Amino acid sequence: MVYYLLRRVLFIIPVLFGLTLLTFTISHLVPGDPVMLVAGPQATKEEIAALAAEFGVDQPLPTQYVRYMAGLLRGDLGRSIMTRRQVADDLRLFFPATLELVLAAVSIAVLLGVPLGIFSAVARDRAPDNLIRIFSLGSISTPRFFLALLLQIVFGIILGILPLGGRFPTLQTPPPTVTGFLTLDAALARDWGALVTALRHLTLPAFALSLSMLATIIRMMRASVLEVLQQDYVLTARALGLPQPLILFKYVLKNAFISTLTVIGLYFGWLLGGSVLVETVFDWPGIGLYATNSIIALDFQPIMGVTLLIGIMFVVTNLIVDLLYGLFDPRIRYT
Amino acid sequence: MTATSAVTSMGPLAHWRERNQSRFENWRRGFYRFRQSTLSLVGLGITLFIFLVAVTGPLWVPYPEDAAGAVHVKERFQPPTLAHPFGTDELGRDIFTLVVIGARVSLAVGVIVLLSAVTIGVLLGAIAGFFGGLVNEVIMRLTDIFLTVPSLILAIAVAAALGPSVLNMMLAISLVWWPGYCRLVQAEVASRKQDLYVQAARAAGASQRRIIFTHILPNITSPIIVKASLDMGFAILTAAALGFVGVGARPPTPEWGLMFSAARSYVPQYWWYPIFPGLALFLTVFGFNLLGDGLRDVLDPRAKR
Repeated sequence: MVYYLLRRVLFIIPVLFGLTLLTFTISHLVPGDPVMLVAGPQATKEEIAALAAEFGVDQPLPTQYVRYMAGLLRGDLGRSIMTRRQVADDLRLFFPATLELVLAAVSIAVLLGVPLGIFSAVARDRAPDNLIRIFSLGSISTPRFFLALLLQIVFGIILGILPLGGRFPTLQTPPPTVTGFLTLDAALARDWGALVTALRHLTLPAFALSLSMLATIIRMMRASVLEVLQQDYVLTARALGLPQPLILFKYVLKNAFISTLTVIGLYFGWLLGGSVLVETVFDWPGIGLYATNSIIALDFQPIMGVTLLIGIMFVVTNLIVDLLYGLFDPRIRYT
Repeated sequence: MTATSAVTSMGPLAHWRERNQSRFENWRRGFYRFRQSTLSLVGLGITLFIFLVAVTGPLWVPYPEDAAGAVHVKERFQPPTLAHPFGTDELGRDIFTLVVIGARVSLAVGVIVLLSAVTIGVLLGAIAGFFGGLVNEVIMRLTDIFLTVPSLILAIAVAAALGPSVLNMMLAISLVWWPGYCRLVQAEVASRKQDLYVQAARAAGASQRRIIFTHILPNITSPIIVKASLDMGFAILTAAALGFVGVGARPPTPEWGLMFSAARSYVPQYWWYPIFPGLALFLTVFGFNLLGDGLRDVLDPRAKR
C-alpha cells in the first residue's frame, strides 16, 4: 500500500513536468506580442525593451523556461502582464470560488444521481428506461452555457426567486474569510442571513454545472445496479428473505458505487474546465472567469497558471479516487 | 487454388461479394438490431436532417446575404414573424438564415476535427501498441500529459494562443482530441498483436506496415467508429464553447456558440436571439449522441447501457 502510494505520487512528477512544458509551449505559440499590446502604440523602443526585460521575455526560450520552472518551485507562477499582479495571488483569490461551485455541483450530482439511478434500475421497464435514456442523453447534449441561460431566464427573470448572477451582493458585508468558501465561512461565523444569501447565489450555477454529471451518474448507477442485482450473493440474500431496502442499500449500493466513483474522479476535472462557461454566464468570480478575461487580453501567465492548477487538481483527484476504490471493494489490492 | 478458379468463373465483383459474405451478414444483423431501437432511428433521422440542412441550406435560406455580414439597422430585433421565423439580431440579420448556415460551420468543424484526431490517434496508437518498448513509453506518456488537462481548458488555451479563427479552432480541438483515440487503439493493438492471424501473417512474410494496416486495424474499427460517433456531438459542443468564450470563430461567421455569446446580453427582452442558436446546437448534439448510443449497442456488444 505504502509502496503503491509512493509510486503513484512519484509518477505525478513527470506528468506535471510535461504539463509545464506543454503550457509553456502553448503560451509561446502566441503570434501577437503581448508586450507591444501592453506598451501601447505610443511606446518608444526603450520602453518596450524595458517592459520586455521586466517580464523576462527578451531572454531565449530555454532560459525563460528554466526561470519559469525555478519560479514554480518557489510557488511563483509569474505575473500578469496586464494587471502586474502575481498570478499565484490571483489564483488564491479566485480558486476557492470555483472549488466551492464545483464541489456543490458534484454534491448535487451524487446526491440526486445515485438514488435516481438505483430507482430506475429497480423499476426497470421499457417506458422509464427510454425516459431515462432521453433525459440523460438530453442533459449531456445541452451546452452548459445554454442551460445556464435557460435557468437564469426561468428562475431569475420569469419566477424571480433566485439571483441572476454574482457570488455575493456587493452592498452586503461578506462573512470573514476562513476557508474561502462563502457558505462555510458564513456557517462558521453563524451568520445565517449571509449563509442563505450565499446559497441562493450558488444554486443556479451549481445546477447548471452539475446536470451532465448527474445524467452520467444516473446511467452508470443504473447499469451497475442491474449488473450487481444478477450476482449470486444477491440471490442468496433474497432467498434468505432479507428485505429489499436492506439488500439494495447494504449489499448492492456498495458494489455498484465503484463506477460512480470513477465518474466523480473524471468529472471533477471536467467540471473545473466547464466552470469557465458557467462562470461567464453567471458572473461567478472564479478562475474560469479569470481565465476568460485573461484570454481576451492575451495575458498568458494567468492562463498557464489556471491550466496548470486544473491539471494538478485533476491528477490529485484521480489518485484519491484510485485509493478510495479499495474502501468500497476490498478485493482491490494496491501493489 | 479453388480461389483463383473462382475469380475466373465468377468475375471479380461476385468473388469479392462471396469473400466478404460473413461481413455483409454481420452488417445486416447489426442494421436489424439498430432498427429495433426507436431512439437510435430518431438519432439517425436528426443527424441526416442536419446534414441535409447544412448541405442544401445556401440554396433556400431566405436572406443569404445576412450570413455574409449584411446589416439592416431598421430591421433590428424583430420578434419571430413569418418574414423572420426566428426573429432578427442586433444588426437586423435574419436569425433563421444564420442558424441554418451555422449548421455548416458546426458540422464542418465536427467532421474535420474528428478526421484529424482519429488519424493522429490511430497512427500513434497503432505504432505504440505494435512496437511496444521505448516507442510505446514515449508516445503513451505524451498521451497521458494531454489527458491530464481537461480538454476544454487545453483547447481554450491553444486556441487563444493561435488567435481566434475557425481554422485555428479546429486545429486546437484536434490537438486535444487525439489522445483518446491513441489510448484506445494502443490497447487494442497491443492485445491483438499476438493473435493467431497476426502470427500467420508474420510467418507468411508480411511487412510490419501490412500487418498493422491490413490485418490489425480492420479488426478494431468498431470501437473507433463507436467512439467517433459519440465524440462528434462533444466536438461540436467544444467548438461552440470556444466560440462562446471568444477564441473560436470571429464575427460575422454564423457560428452557433459565437451567436449565443453575442445574444446573451440582450436577454430577456430579445429572448429569441439566443434561444434558436442554442436549440440548434442542442438538437445537433442530441442527434449525434442518440446515434452514437445506438451504434454502440450494435457494434460493441460488451458495452452495457
